[in-house]
Amino acid sequence: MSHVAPAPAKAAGTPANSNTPFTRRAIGVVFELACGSSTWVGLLVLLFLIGILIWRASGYFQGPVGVQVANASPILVVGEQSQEHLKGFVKLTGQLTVSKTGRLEFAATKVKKIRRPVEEIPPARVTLTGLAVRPSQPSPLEVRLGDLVVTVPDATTLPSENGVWQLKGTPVLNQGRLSLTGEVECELVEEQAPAAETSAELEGVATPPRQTVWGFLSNSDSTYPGQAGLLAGFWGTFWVILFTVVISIPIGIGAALYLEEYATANWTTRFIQLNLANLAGVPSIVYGILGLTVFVRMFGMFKEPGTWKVLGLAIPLPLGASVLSGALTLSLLVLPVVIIATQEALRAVPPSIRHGSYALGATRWQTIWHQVLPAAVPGISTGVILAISRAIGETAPLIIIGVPTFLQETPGDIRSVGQVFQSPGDLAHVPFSSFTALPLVIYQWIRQADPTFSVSLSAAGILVLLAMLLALNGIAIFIRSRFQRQSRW
Amino acid sequence: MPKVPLAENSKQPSLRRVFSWGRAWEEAIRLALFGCALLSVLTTVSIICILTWQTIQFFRVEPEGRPHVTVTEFLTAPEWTPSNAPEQQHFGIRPLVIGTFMVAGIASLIGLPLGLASAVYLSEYASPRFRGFVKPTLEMLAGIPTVVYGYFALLFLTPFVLKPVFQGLLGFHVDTFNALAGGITVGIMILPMVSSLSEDVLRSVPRGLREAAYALGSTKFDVSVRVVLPAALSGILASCLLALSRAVGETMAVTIAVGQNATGSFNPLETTETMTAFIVDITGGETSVGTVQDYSLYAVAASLFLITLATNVVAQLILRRFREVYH
Repeated sequence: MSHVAPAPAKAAGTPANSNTPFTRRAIGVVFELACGSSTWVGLLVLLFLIGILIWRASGYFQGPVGVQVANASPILVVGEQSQEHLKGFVKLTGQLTVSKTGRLEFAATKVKKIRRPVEEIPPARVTLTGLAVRPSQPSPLEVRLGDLVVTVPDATTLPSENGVWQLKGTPVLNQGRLSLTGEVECELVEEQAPAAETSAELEGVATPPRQTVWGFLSNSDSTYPGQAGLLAGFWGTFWVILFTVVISIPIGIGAALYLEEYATANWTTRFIQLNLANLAGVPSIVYGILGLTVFVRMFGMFKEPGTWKVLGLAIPLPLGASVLSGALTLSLLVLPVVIIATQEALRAVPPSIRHGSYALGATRWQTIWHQVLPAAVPGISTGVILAISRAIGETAPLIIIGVPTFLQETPGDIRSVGQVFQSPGDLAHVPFSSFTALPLVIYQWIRQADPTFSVSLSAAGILVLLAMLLALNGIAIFIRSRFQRQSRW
Repeated sequence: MPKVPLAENSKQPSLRRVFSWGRAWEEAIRLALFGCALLSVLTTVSIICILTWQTIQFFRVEPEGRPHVTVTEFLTAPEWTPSNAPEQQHFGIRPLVIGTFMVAGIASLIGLPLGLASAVYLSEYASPRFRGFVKPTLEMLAGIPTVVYGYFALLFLTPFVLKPVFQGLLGFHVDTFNALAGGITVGIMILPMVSSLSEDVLRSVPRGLREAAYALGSTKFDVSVRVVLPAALSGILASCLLALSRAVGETMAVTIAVGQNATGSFNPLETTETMTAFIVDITGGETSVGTVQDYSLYAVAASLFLITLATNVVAQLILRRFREVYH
């Protein structure tokens, strides 16, 4: 570092291009402002992000009443409608539009509830009436009905000439366009008519998608946005993180104890240290591949999936994308973080404590177990909590090992806390059952074409995830500040 | 708690040789802890072995309908289309590398200057109270799961910022999935990392250097830019390298925002694909074990691992030298 020494001399020797006190001061002020504002960028982004999420999520819980019509895309019913009418088989009259945010909106002028036996319920049908312009080319098969562009996949049923047409079919939103599927009927109503308003009639089984916060937390995932929830993801995350903690923390603390309390400064120790620093920088996706090969596939040692019966448990071999595989993969991922944090906590324990213990005749392990570890607990737990919050947010390694992103079952079929006490036998199935995790559910929602999933539901899921992480971080900060005041040296 | 019995036989030449259960227990604990430490080495070894072995398999496996992939094809072919029919399969990693480095480059353009500037502000200008408030907040920003950043890029940045500005105002076409949104988001992600690492480096520059410069009549600007920054240059370089390697290895935000179409285009407003996004894409698509697609996953992962490992090792070595100078 030969350039360090001349640097001050250069600063002092060359007043450089800043000759007058004024320019010097101006440059200083501008620099300080620039640096200060870039510090604020990070903080503002954080605030902004949370603001956007709350804004987007709130639409899901308190937006206008919508209708989910059987197998069609969800249709938002705009206007004052009593929710009572929008349950069961309904017939809506009004105008159908595709909004700027890419939703189907139905401005209903008339809502009629029809009572029918369940067996007779036909699939959702929409009847669109309006001045249709004949498609100029056979593909894309678009019909303009007033302002509405309708795609009809079946070419034979297309309107053959201009005029007022009636189109019947199941409405599906396809890449921001309304598309009619199923048996599409086209019928010419009038040949020449003055600009007729487009009108629509919709029939189908409706469920209002307005979700309560409790319903969101206690439902499993669903293909209908009005019924989707986080339950399966929540239990999956809980079990996988619990196992990760049980596996990674003893090993991580053990490794840190060896490196700090036992190891001498030889090349093996230096190598392990450098290796740890590098492992902490390995992309999480590589750990996913490691987990896929070692735990999920077990190097392909088992040509046919089998089970290994031990202690009354049926352990599937290879492990597959089970809770245990996920936990082992995440454990490898967080181990370097836990080890490095624990090492720092151990280093902060003053040597005088160890010397005092040795002087009283304690062995090395007695010293560690009774003096060093208790003194380092606050530091260790802070590091561990931060490592856990990293593991909770990890998505990529779990996707790589093949954890499903859509799953309605919870591990071991445990759906409530009470069930754990009522039938503890279910716990034995937990490590070997398949699972999904919170960030994976959110990922799957983000990738849906339907904006109720991708925009609103995922924002609500993210808020729950962030709240959990914030709580964990809060605990870490609390422990740190509390024990800093109480420390005895 | 095991009792440690005193050696009763004083004829023993040395206490060391006396067998006692207590001593065996101590030794057993030492070995167990050593085993824990060795596990981290084992992880690295198994990562390297698995990636190497499967990459070799990638070049040796004979896929149906096309000749086996050669190393030259992997490194030089201009297309990456592993999910096509066998006759049209191409395994040239270049488009993925272009996508990866374009995203990482945009991220560096955003994250490195902002992160560095905030590090300078925090270490040289900010009051301890402000720093005490900002550092945990930035750590929180760094702790946000990357899926969340993906949401931010795909469903906020692209439709509400990039499309109005680049498509509405300037008239370029902006794809729903584009490299720019991914790059900006990854830049925001690495900002706290650069800021925190560089601030540690800046603060470990000895006070004496600063005081000497002040004594010679320097302003705060002179001290920051001409004394502290040059003195901490190598450490800052290391923190930038670490952030770059993080940007290269970033997965979920990029997978969500950038898309899954390895166009190899240099236009940041178009869809592209990074190495990490490809790995997520192909594992989600249920490839069967032993096919060339499955092995291509390992080949791409091996390339990614090599890039990040090289960057990390260089950064670690630079940081170590930096610490030797000042500690």
